[in-house]
Amino acid sequence: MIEVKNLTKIYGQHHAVDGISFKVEEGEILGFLGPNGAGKTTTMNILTGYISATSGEVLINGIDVLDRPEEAKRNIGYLPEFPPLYMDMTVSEYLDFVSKIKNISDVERHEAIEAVMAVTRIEDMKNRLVGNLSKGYKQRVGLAQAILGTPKVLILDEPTVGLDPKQIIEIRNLIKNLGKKHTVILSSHILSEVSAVCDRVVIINKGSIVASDTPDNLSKQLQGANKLQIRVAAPEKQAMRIVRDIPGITNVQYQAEKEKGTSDIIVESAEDVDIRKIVFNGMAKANCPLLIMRPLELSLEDIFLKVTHLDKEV
Amino acid sequence: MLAVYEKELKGYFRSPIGAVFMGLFLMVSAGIFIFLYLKDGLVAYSAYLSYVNIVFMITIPILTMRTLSEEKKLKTDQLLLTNPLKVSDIVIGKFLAAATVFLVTLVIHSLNAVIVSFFSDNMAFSEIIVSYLGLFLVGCSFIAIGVFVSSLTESQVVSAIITFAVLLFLFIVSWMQSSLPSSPLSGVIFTLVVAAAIAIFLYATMKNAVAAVVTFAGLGLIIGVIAIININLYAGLLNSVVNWFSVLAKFDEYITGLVSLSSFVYLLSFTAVFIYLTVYQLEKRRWA
Repeated sequence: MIEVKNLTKIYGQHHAVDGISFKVEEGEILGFLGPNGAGKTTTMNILTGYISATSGEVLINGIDVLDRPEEAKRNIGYLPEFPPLYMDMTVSEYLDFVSKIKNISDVERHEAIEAVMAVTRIEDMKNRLVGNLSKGYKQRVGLAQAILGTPKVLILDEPTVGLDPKQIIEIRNLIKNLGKKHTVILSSHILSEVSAVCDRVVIINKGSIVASDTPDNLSKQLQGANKLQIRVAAPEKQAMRIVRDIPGITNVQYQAEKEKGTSDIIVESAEDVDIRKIVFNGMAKANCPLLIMRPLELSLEDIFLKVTHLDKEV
Repeated sequence: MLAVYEKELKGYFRSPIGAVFMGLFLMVSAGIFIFLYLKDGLVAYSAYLSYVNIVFMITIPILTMRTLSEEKKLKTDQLLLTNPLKVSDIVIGKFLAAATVFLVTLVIHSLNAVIVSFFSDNMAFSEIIVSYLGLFLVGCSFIAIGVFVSSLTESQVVSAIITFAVLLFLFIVSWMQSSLPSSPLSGVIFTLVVAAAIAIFLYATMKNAVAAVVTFAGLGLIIGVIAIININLYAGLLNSVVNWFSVLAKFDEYITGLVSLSSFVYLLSFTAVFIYLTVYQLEKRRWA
C-alpha cells in the first residue's frame, strides 16, 4: 500500500532523512518512532507530498507521489503535527471546505461529514468556531479532516499530543478501529502508545531506520542472552553456590533479599539453550524450592534507548 | 479552485479585512472627490478617476496581505498542499477572490458617477466606463503583486509593507518618467548599471567571481561597441525601458477613454506574470 524506497532529504549540509526504505501493507498500522528531530515529521511531509524529497521514491497505492501528485493525494488523509485549522470557521464550515477540496461529491458530502463527526465525537461542536475549541477538540477536528472521505492511507503525526489521558485512550481506540479499514502510519515518541496500537514499529534516529519489526519481536531480538530473574528459598551464599553449580549458566548476579529467607538472582545462559529448563532441573536436584521465575524482556523503552543511543543496527 | 475561491471570498467577510478594505477605499476616494471635484471645481469625472488609483497604494496591500502569508503561518498550507489541489488552483482561487472584492468595491464606487450625473451635464459615460475598466485592470495587476509578496513571507504586516513599498515605487517611477534624462550618455550608463546588476546576481547565485567579471566585461564590450557604431541608439532608452514597466502609464490611456488592445493585453499579462511567479515561488519552497 505504501512503499518508500531510499528516501533522502538534505537541507544544505544536514541530512534530515537519510536513505529510508520501508513498506506498509494494506490494513496495517505502522508506528513511526524516534526522538525529537529524528526526521519523523520530514518523512511524513514527503509521504504526503507537502515537501519534495532530495532523492528516493514514494509509492502510495502504487502511485508515485512526485509523478502524479493529485492522484496519489486522493488516497491520503494527513493529520500534520499542528492540525491545519482555519480558526475563523465553524467546525462544519471547515469540514465542508475540506470535503470540497477532497472532491467529495455534493451527494455524499453531508453524509460523509456527519459520519466523521460521529466517529471523532465532535457533533456537539459543529456550530462552534474552531478557534474557540479546546486543544483536544482541535486535535479531533484535525483527525476528522484526515479521515474525511475514507482515504486508503492515513498519516497521523503525533495524533495524541496535548490530549488528556481519557482522550488519549479514546483516540487510540479510534485509530485501532480505523486500522481495520485504512492503512495507517502513526508517529509518536510515546512508546506505550506505539506498542498498544501498532502492528509494526519502525524506529528512526538521525534520519535513518535503526530498527523495524513487530513490538514483540523487537523485544525478543534485543533481549540478547537468555536472562531470567529467579527467587529461590535459600539465603544468599547457599543460593549463589547452587546456581553457580548448574551447568550451562554463564552469568549470575545477586540482587537482594526481598522476602525473608529468600534470594533474588538474575541468571543468564547462552542463547542456544533453554535456560528455564536447566534452572528448574538444577534447583530441583539441589532440593532448593524455586519460588519465582520471570523472563527479563526488554520493554519498548529499553529498546528505544538502546537503539537510539548506541546506534545499534537490528 | 472554486472551493478555494469560495472559502477566500467568505473569509474576507468573516474577518474585518473585506470591510476595512471597502470602507477605506470608498472613504479615501470620497475624500479625494470632495477635494478635487467640489472644492477645486474639477469638471470631468474621468479626471477624478485618474486620482483614484493612488488609493490603491494604501488599500490593495490590506486586501492581499494575508492571502498566502497567513496560510503559511498557521500551517494551513499543509491542508491545501496535501490534498488533490494544484498549486495554481490555490493561487488563482485566492487571486480571483481578492479581485472579486475589489470589483464589488468598484461597482459601489461607480454609484458616484450615477449620482454626479444628476447634477452635471457633461458626463461622458462611455469614457467613464472605460476608466473604470482601466481602474479594474490596474487594480488586478496590483493585487497580483500583493499576492506574490504575501507568498514570500509569513507575516501579514511585512507583506503589507512590502506590497505598499512596491506600489509606491511604481508610482514614483511613473511620476519621474517625464523628468528622466534622455541623452545618449544616460542610456549608456543605464545599460552599464544593468550589466553590473546581472554580474552581481551571477556572483550571488553561483559564488563564482570569474564568471561574474567575465560576464560584466563581455556585456560592457558589447555596450561599448554599439555606442561607438551609433551612440544615438541610446537616446531615450531609459525612458522607454521605464515605460515598459510602468503599469500606470497604461492606465492613463484608459482615462482618456481609449482602450487599446496593447494596453489591455499588457495589464492582463502583467497580472498573469505575477500569478505565475507566485505559483513558482510556492513550488520552489517545496523543492528547497
